[in-house]
Amino acid sequence: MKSFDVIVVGSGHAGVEAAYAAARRGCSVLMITVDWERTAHMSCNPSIGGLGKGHIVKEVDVLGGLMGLAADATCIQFKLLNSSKGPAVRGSRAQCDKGLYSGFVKDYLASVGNISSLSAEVKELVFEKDRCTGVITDKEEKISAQAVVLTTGTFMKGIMHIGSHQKPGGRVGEKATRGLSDQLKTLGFSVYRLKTGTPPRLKKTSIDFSALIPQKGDKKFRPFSFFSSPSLSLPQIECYLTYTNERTHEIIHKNLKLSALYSGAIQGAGPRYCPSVEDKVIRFADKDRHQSFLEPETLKGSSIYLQGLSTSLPAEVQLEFLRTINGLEQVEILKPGYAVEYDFLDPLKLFPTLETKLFQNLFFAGQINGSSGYEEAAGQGLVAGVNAASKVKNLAPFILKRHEAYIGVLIDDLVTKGTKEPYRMLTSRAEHRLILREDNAIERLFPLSLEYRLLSPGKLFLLEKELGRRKSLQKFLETNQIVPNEQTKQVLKKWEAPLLNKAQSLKKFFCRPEMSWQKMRTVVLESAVLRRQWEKTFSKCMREELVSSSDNAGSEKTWEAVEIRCKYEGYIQRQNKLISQNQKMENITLPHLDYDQVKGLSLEALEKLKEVRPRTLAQASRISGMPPAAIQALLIHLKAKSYLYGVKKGESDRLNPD
Amino acid sequence: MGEKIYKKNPGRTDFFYERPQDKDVVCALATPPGQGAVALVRLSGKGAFEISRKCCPFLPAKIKSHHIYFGTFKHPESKDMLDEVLVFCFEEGRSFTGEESVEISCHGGAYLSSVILEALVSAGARMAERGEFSYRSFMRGRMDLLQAESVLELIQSRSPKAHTQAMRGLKGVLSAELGLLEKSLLKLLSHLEASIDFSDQEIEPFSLEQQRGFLEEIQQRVAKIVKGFQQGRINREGFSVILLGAPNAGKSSLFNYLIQEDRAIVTEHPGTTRDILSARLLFNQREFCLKDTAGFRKSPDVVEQRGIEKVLEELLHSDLCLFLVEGCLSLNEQSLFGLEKLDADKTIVVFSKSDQLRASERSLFLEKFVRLCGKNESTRSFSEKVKRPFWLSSHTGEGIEGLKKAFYKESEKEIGEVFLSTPRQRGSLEKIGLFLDQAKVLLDQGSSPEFVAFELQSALSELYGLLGKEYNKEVIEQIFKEFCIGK
Repeated sequence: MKSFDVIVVGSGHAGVEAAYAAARRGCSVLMITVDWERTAHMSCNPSIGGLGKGHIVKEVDVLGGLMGLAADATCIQFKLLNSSKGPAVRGSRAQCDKGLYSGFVKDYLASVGNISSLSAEVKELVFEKDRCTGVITDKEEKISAQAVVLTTGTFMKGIMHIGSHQKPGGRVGEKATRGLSDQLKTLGFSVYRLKTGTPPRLKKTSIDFSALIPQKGDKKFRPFSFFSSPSLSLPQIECYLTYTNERTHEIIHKNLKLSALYSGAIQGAGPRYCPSVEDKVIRFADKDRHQSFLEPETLKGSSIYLQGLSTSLPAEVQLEFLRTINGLEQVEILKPGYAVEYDFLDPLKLFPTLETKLFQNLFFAGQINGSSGYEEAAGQGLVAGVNAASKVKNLAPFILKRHEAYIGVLIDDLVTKGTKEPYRMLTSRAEHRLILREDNAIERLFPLSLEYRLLSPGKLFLLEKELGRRKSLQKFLETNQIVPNEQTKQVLKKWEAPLLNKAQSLKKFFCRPEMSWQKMRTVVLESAVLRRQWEKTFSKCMREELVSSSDNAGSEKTWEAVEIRCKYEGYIQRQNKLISQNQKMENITLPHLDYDQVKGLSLEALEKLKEVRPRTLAQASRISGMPPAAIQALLIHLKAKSYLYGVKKGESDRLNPD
Repeated sequence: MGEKIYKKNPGRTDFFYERPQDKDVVCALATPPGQGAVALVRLSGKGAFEISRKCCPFLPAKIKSHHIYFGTFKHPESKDMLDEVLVFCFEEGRSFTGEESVEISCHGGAYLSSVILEALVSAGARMAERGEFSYRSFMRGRMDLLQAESVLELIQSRSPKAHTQAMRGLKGVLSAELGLLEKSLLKLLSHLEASIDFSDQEIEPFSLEQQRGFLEEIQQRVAKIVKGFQQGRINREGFSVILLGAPNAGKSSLFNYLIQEDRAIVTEHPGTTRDILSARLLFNQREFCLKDTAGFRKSPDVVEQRGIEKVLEELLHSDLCLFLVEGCLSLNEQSLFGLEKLDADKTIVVFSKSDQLRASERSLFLEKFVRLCGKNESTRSFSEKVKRPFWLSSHTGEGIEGLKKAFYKESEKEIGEVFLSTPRQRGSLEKIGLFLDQAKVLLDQGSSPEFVAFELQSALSELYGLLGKEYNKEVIEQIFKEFCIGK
């Protein structure tokens, strides 16, 4: 019988990160997927990143994942969303060539020595007592493993709806898996239904682009990955904007009962942030038009993704309403839009390591946990993979906290509160938003990457060097002053900026609204005094790194990061203060408590605590509807126990003592 | 609190977790409320020395633990001298709670100790919740296991009760106001959040101008609440009772009788009293503020009209309403004019000039009263009041003592609430005001929305602390309610 350290079931965005993460930590990994060709397939929109999501991609990158690398290498249009807003809410988004993206990931994984792949369907999981020890495929092959990660996406009991037409399957052209979900249900997992939808794909040559409004990407490319080249490798494309109109809405209205969403055929809850066009027309009836972006799915191919118009109307109705839209009068549909209903497992049954509470060494990641989005899947996949390896190698569990990463927010929300709709990341979900920025992903996660060996020594060295540069640059600005001499006056006059009347630290000067890092750098290099200090402080090599042109990714990133830290220091400090207030509660780990023994818990609180089994007191307090009195009762219980048994410090720190 | 408790023993602190509110300096009366030669007010928490010093300027710069200081206690703002007090100081680790604490021994009496507590709150302390001293001393390891259980009981009994209590305190005008405040904060915040998280979508959040206008409205709302909502008002100003009723119902006679002074001009002519007169009455150690008003009637006289408007305004600021109905068989709709505007729970209906009616006529009168009340939906609930009719005569003194007792009983109800919950509420509202001010500054500077949102979030979580709701969920719900979002 074949045997591996870790088996990853599924090769979507969660699966590939899980496999790669476990492999990075030295595990032998087998990826089992129904269709290897569909690895890292972008089944819906053709972009990676976006608001709240770009953050996740950068986090995945610092934690050694490959999503950022793949997106950078296959980017065909880049945009920094919210570029006019503050640094915490800017989000990078790359539209990628879907085919190349998938190809990049496949090639990358093939180059990793200890990952093998198998084309098969997993029918059943194998258990020994309360421990998952392997899988059985549809070819009746039994393969054993020390840990199993399930990343089956929308494939469990997936049903596709196009109008009244239903077909089992997770996506067009791919079949659904049925056996697993039934087995998991009998094992005690709570299985619920969710739905999601996708818009029609249009034939490029049938569209009159002259009637559409072109949408260009940013001039400036900012790679997700710290390790990517700062220049683009593919030519960049344009997207196009068009609008629905009253005639479009009329047709949708008229055919509403034919929509799977409105005929009652679909039971699952859909995402509110991504409603179908039917939903939009009904719920926001006062709007006379809705926007839609036409996004090429690949550089050379003919398929156009119609962002904003997901639908489950019959194909012929889709064609009818599409042809009322400007530029689409002659349109042909390559693939109609459809809705998918699928099973997901209640994430309350998971620890924050994404290991299940019911069975050891079994992990779930991605849409199976009720999340939505490639980035959300990747983040979970990475965490599940790292923890699967921890389990195999008997290493410490890997848990990201809410103030450390959006991935931490994502997983904590899922395992503490559960979800009723496909969970998508939003910056407003992060209470510590101002310090969870794209620019400081390195500061936030480098220590963890180092501790858990998630990056190669070479890459760790690069990150460490960057952190060093940022630190010394900031120190330089803090300790050196700008003085109101003739030279300063000339410079400020040139910029039409208010003059300086007394000396102040460069850092303070940096905080002037008209200052940018480019100007700051000019001030430093053009002042004789400061230049001398500059040369005294930094080595020649570091000076080069800090002043080189934009060809060197390091320079710009370093200056930008330091600029943000100087300018938003006040807010960063306030946010940090809130975090340290929370930290006390975060540090009280709840040992394997018998909640029945805790006096003074209401029945509701008791049930919730038993279900969630929070790891820390802070997590307990985040459970929906947990009354403050219950938290105090827990505290008092712990306190009393420490009197009785003299609980040792370390003992309560363990995750879930077995 | 014997030697044992004050022994230096830092206790185990492995599980010590401070809720944010555990960092406050809290104060409360340590001796039973009511009359006594002396009373003890206790303050506990880091910063207790400093707060005490604001009220007790005689305390030295370097306070010695386990020392007693004597001097004059002053209000930190008005600098009024309130009492001569003895101050006992205990440093951290050597007190009942284990925290830095101060005990102030002042002269007895509910009024004086409440004035002292109010002064301490003005100086930065917060009223302790029930059981909070014990909770703190347990958490600091100053109590043993046996005591722990009783602390738990205290806390448990506290939470549901404190919650209902707080909720009760928040009811009425205040809760309606807070509800509106929550709604508008949520709305503004959802517009800001949507403009951040869905900036790539075709949505129309508030323009900067709209945001500014909306925020200003919210600021005004908070300012209004803070202003009209004064901590310990009853303790400081007395429990206010407003006298209402038709002209010539005998309000002024009763007023004079109660204060035993001829303050209000009493004549045979209806409508004599036009301005509101107020006077103080002390009963059972509690102060009451009586307000005599112009009678309610439809009147063509402009001056009298204006007087009635003022009365209605004053009604909002009163704790109890005393509605007088003249005890005479010519009772008619005019006599009940204005009754429909009153809240039956906060109103005592009395039948004045009872000496005019013979005992046999009284039941006839009551029947008539019930009939008149029944005519109108909004006065129907008042017909219940005749079950235990309140007969009153400023002539014979009938019912006067009973009336005072009734005032006292009503004031007990009120004081429990205001005393417990209000200082914290006011503190929270003031904080909310500060966050909003900061948000306004940022808006005016044209800052990015997430910073404005940060201030509003701080304001909203403070408000949710008061209302016991979950912050994050509400905001996200609101975004989806408000906007058409979709990729």
